[in-house]
Amino acid sequence: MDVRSAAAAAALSTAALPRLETSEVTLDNGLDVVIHPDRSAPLVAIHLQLAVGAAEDVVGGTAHLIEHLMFAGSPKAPDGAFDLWLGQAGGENNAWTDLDWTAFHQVVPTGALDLALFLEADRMGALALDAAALDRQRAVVAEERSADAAAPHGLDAVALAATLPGGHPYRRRVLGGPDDLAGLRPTDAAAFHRDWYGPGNTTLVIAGDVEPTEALAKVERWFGPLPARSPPPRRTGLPALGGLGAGEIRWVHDAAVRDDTLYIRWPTIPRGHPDEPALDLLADVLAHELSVGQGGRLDPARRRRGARTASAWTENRRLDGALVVAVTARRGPLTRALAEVDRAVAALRVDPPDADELARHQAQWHAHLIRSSADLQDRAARLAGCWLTWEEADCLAREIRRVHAVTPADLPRVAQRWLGSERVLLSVVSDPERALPYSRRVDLP
Amino acid sequence: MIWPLIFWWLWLAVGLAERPDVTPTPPPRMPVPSTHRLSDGTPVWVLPRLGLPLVRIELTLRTGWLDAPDPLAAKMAGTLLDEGAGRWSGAEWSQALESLGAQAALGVTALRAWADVEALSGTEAAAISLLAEAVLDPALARRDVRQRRRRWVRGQRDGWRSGRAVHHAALTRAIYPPDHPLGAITSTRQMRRLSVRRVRAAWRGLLQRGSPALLVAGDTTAERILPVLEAAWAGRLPGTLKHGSLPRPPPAGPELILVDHPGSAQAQITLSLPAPGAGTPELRAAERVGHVLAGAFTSRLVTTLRERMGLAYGVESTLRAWPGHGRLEISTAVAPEAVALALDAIHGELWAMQLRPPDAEETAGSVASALREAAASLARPAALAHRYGQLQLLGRPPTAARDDLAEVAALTPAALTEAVAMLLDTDDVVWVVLGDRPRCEPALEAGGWPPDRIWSGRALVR
Repeated sequence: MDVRSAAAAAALSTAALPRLETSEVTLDNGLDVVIHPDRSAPLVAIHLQLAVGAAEDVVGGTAHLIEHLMFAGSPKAPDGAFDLWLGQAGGENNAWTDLDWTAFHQVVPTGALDLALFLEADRMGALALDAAALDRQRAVVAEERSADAAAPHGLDAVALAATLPGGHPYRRRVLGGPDDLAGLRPTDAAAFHRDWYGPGNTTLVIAGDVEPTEALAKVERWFGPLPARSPPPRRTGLPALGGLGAGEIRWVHDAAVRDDTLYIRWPTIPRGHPDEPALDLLADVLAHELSVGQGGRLDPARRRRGARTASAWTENRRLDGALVVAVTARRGPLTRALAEVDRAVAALRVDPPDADELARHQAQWHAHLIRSSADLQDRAARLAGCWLTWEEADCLAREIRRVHAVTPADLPRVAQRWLGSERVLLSVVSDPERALPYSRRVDLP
Repeated sequence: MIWPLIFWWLWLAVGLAERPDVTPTPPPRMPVPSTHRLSDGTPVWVLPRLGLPLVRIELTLRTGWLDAPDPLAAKMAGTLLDEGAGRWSGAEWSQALESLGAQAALGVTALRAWADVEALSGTEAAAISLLAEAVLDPALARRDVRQRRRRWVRGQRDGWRSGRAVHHAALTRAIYPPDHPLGAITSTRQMRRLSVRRVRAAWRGLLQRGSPALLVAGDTTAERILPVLEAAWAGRLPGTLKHGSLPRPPPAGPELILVDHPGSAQAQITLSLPAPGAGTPELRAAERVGHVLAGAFTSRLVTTLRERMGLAYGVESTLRAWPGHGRLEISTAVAPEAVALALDAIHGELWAMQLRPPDAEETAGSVASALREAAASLARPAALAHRYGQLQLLGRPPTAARDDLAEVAALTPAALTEAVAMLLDTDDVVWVVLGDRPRCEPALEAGGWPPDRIWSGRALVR
C-alpha cells in the first residue's frame, strides 16, 4: 500500500464497515433498552444514561452530587451496599456527570447481571437520603474541586465556560461552586432524583455475554415494575447565538501557570448537526496547520515566532457547540499567537486543504471510531450515545460514512459559516499584564 | 450510638433477603498464542482475535536503559524514535501513519526497548514497514536532540509545578540508595550535557544487544502476518541480551518525609512498602491484598477515607513489580489541614488488616475482580498485547497467562493472610507527604506525625 497517497485513506472509505448486532425495545414505563450480544468473554457491560446534567441544575452542582448520592443507599441496599455487593461479585462500576447527561456504568461477570440490574432498578425507584450522607458527599466533592485547582491549567475549562453569558446552560460548572451546595437539603436532593431519575428519562444498554431475549426478560423483571414518571422539560432555549451578539469578547483568567495560553472559542453547532464532521475535520486541519505532526511538533519558523503547542477541537453538545483553538506561548505576547491563528483561519476560509491532507484526517477519525468501540464498556457507552443522537444504536458505520462524505470544499464553507467574528478570546496567564489588551477578568463559579 | 449500626444491619438483612443470587461465572479462558520463529530465530507469538478490524503488532527488545552503559542517552533515544526515519522526516513519518489510521508508540523503559503499532486490518503491512524504519534507521537528528533536551528541562520545571516530577524524585530518593540501578535522579544539568553522539550510540547499543521478540494480537492470522514480519525484521536484530534481576534495596523506613511544595492546594500522601518481584509466585496474592486495601470503591481505604470520613476523592494502590523486588504504593490526596487525620486512618487500616486479614467474601470479590479484568482484556488488542508482552519480557511460556489466571482463581483467604503478613509486618515503611509546608507541618506535628525529614521539592528536581 502506498502510504504517502490519499489512496490509502480512500481505500478505507470503501472498506467493509463493521456492524454491531443490537436490538432495541422501549418498556411500557418509557425505559429505552438496547441489547448488544458479544459472547467472546464471560462479561456484561451495563450503561445507564439519564437525560439530565449540570445544565438542568437549579442549584449549581446538584446533578453531580446526586450522582454521588446514588451510591449512598436505596430501599433494598443500604449505604455502601451497592459497591459492596457488586465488588463481592467481581464487578466494577463508576459514574459521570457532564453538562447534558449523567451515566452509571458497570462491568460484571455474566452471572452477576441480575444483581446489577436489581441494584440499578432499586436506586432508580428511590434513594434513601440522610443528612450525614449528604454532608459526606459534599466533602468528597470539595476534594474533587481541590484536585482540579491543584493541577496546572486545571481550571481553564471552567474559566472558558464562565465566559458564556449569564443564563447560558453551559456556563455552569459541573461540580458547582464552593458554596453552591451548602444549603442543599436531603429533601431537595430527593426531589431532584424524583424529577429526573425515572425510567422514561433513561436509556439502558446491556452489552456482552447475553442472549437478547433472556436479557430483556431480566430487564422487564427488575425495571418493569417501576412507575412511569414524566421528567420536567429540559432546557431548550439559549441566549441569542451563545449570547455573544457583540462580536469578539476578551477575557483573562490569571492562574499560577508557567506558560501563557490563549483560547479562542467560536460558537458552532449541536451534536448531530449536518456540519459536525466537517467542523471536526476543520479543527484537525487547523491544529495541524498550527502545530505540525504527532506530538505537537512545531516547524522551526513557528517555534521562533514563540508558539509552543497548539491544539484545536470541537465540543458538540445537545444544545450547541463550539470549536476551540488553544495556543500555549512560551515566548512572546499572546497577540502574536492570535495573529498566527487568525492567519491560519483566514487561509482556510478561502483555500480548501488538499485531498491528501483531508484523507489523512478522515483515516484518523475512521480508526478512532473503531478503536473507541473495542472495549466492551466503551462500546456500551457508544451505543447509548448513538441511540440518544440518532435513535439508531449501532451508528458506527453511519458515523464513519459521515466522515468520509466530507469533501475538501466543505472546509472553507464551514469555516466561513462558523468561524466568524463572533468569538471569545480567553488569556490564561500568571501575570494579567500579559493578557490580550481590553480583557475582562473571569469570575470563576 | 449503637442504634444506627443495628438499623444498618437490619436494612442490610432485608436487602440481602431480596437481592438476586449471583450464579457462578466460569473464569475466562485466556488464549494460548501460536508460537513461531522468523528465519533468524526471533520468536513470534500470534493471538488471532476476531472482532473489530484492528491489529496490534509489538516488537520488544528485552533490554532497556537499566542495562545500557549510558542510561540517560538510552532514555532520550527512546523519545526520539518517531522524529523521522530513513527517507522520512518526522512530520512525513507521522503523516504516513495517520493516512493509514494507525497509531504507533516507541520508547525505552528500564527493562525494554519497544515499538508497537495498532492498525486497521488490511493496512498492517504498510504500518509494520513504517515501524521497522523508525526502529532500524531512526534519524536521531542533532536538531531534535537539542529540542528534546530543552523540552525535558522544561518538563522537569513544569513537573515541579504540578508536583509530578517532585513526587517521583522524592519516592526514588527515599527508597533507593544512589548506587542502586533505580536510584538515579536525573538533574537538569545532566540533561543539558546529552549529545547527539551519545544518543545515537545508545540506540545502536540497544539494537545490537537486546534480544528481540514479536507479538501480534487482533484481526489477523499467522499465515497472513508472518511473511510481513519476516520481510520487516528478519536478520536485522541480532541481540541476545535479556535484562537481569534488580537487587532488593536495603530497608529505607520507617520514616515520614515531608516534601515542601509551596502553594499546593492538596497534600499528596504516598505510602511505600516492599513487595514481591515480577514473576514470583507470591505476587498474585500480594496484588489482591493491594486491591482489598485500595483497589476499588469497596476497598477498605476508599471506604474509610472517602465514604466514611469524606477526606479524599480517591485512594489508589499500585504494585510495582520488578524482576528481583517490588514496592506496593498506596496514594491519596487530602486537604493539607487533614493530613494527620488521613495518616491516622491509613495507619489504622493497615493495622486492622493485620488483625483482620481479608475474609472469604473479600478474597472472592478481589479474585473475581482480577478474573473480570482478564476477561475485559480479551476484547482489546492493545490490552492483550500488553498482558502477553509482559510474559515475553520475563521469558515466561505462552501458556503462562492461562496458568496465572488459574492460580488467581485458586487463591484462598489463607494465601491472602500470608501475603498480608509478608507485606505489612515490616518496619520498612516510607511515608511521603508532598504539600505546602506551612500548612502541612503544623498539622503533622499537632496530629502526632512529626516528619523525620523535610526536603525541598524544588531542590529534588534541580
